[in-house]
Amino acid sequence: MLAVLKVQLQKLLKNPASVLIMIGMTILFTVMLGLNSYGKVTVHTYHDASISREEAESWLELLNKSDSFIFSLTEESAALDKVTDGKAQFVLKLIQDDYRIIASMEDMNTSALDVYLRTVYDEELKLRSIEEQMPGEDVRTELEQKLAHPVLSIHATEVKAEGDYEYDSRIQSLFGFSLFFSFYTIAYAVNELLQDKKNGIWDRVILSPISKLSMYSGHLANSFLIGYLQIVIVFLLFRYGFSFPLGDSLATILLIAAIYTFAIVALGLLMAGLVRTPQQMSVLIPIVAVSSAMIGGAYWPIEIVTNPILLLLSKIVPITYGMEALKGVAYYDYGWSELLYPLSVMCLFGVVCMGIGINLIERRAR
Amino acid sequence: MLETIELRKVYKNKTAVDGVNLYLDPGESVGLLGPNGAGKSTTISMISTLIKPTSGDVKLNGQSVLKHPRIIRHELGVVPQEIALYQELSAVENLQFFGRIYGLKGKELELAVEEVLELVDLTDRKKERIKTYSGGMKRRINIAAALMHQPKIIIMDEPTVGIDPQSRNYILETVRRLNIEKKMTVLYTSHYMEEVEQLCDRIYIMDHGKVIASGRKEELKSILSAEDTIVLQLEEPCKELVDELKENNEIRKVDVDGNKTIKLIVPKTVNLLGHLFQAAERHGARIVNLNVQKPSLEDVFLHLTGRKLRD
Repeated sequence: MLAVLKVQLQKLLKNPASVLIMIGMTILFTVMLGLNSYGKVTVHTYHDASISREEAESWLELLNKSDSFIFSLTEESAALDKVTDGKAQFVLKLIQDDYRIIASMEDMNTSALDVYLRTVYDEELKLRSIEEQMPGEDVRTELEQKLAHPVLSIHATEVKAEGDYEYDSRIQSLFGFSLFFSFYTIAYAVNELLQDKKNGIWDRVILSPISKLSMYSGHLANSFLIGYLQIVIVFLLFRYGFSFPLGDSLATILLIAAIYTFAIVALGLLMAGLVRTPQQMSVLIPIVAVSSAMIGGAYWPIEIVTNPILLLLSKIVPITYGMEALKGVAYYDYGWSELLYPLSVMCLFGVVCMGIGINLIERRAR
Repeated sequence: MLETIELRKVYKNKTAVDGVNLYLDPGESVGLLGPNGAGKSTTISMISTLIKPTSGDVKLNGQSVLKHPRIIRHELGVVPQEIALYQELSAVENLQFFGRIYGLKGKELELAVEEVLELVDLTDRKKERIKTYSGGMKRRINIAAALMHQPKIIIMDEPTVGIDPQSRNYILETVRRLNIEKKMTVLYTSHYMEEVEQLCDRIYIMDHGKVIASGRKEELKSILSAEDTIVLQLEEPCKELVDELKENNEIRKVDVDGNKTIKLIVPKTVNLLGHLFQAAERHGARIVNLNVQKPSLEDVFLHLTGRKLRD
């Protein structure tokens, strides 16, 4: 097994371009689609003559602590043009100790902005009022210390209705594209087995004393390692390089990725059993990769899909279970009891596909 | 040492190999000669345990290889017809891989690599990728890969297909050295009669899945010992003359090669020369050369099958 694994890795080292391209594509797509639109709405802001620019900037510093909005200071005319031209739904006007929202229409976003602004203004104005009444005392620092060790702490929970789901475009993009692009890497690595068969190397190895189990194990271990390494590199990069919120348990995330990789290796082997040549496999790989990514919720959240046929089809692709488990850990802190189902399905899928795949390949050889 | 007993392989409705019996004694060089599709590759695939025969057996030193395939794995080296190498890896990396699968490692592996590279004279290019090699060099590494574990028997399946004459001669010389100097038993398949004639002590001739003749070169040629091969060379092609010769019952075989050369196999007892000149004159054909030859293996094959080896 080690001889087969080693030679496959040697081949990869001689020609690493395909794996590097897949890693690059995952990073590119995650950055483009995940970071660019990961939920923050830009609010163009201007101020009138009642407050100075410095004062406006100090308000912006406070407001920009928001997880949902980015406030950027601009000229009045430029800000109003954005609303007039339909480029922005609303802009913010800062006035002395107050604000105005100039909106083209009123909706949930406008209300959310108003609620956020009201909260920030209320707190800040209260603080300023206390500071005025208690001159010479560092009220802010004292308050921060008290808030760090509160007398009473309140834990708020909310009840979610069926169909409600969390969404963070960063998580969706990272998990979706990682699983999608790793499919290519893994399946093309499995295709090396067909390539070996085509050019006669497989037969040469059969004639040696090493067993068929070792031959398959070497190839499959190679496919697994390359695919898994790709996913791990991308996850670690975005977890530590871009501070993506992957949940509290990175180890669980990596375990899920390993089981997903196993399932895809097995799927690759099944595909190899169904085709006759490496060229046919190369045609089949993108078809299966793209279609399973679409129906499995890699491109968009599976929760928005309502078509019952697509939902039924999603149950037979491992990417659905991979996404479910990964998002479960990242969004909802899934424990082992919640992860048991998706992980078991992927394991079962892997075992069944591997069994059928090897059987088909061997039957063809006879 | 190695023998096949009534070896037979049937694919759906087609019989690829039909009751082949052959044997190899230690240190022998045996040729398996036949045209494309004769069943040579299928036969050696069954001998090497790559495919299972429909019936029959293969025995190595009296033990059934089919029941115990492992007994032949260390003894046998197979050079496939295709270049079964990793093109993107160097010669050394390929040879190391083929050594490792036979359990070689460390110093032993290194020595084996150096030895086979020297044998095929590619030591100075050992670090270059296979895809940069010429066709002949690839074939030499293809042979080297089968020698890594120092097998006692080597089976070569048309190892000179598609290469230039110089590389071909080098490979033939390598095979000869393996047989004579290294005392390796060689089973050499080819449809090039000259190669088999040059390399092999004994020859099996196959056609349509069957062994149609076997024996030492001289024994095979003696099939035609009662016959002469007359080669006529004409100035211009003459169809009428060929037709007349074909109709002559005293002539066993008439083979036209390139329109102007006619090869005739005739019994020694028949004096045909006078008749030949008369016929040529009748049809206005001018004979520029006439040669009475000893029979070759090609003639034997033609005699046995009515076809040429490369038909």
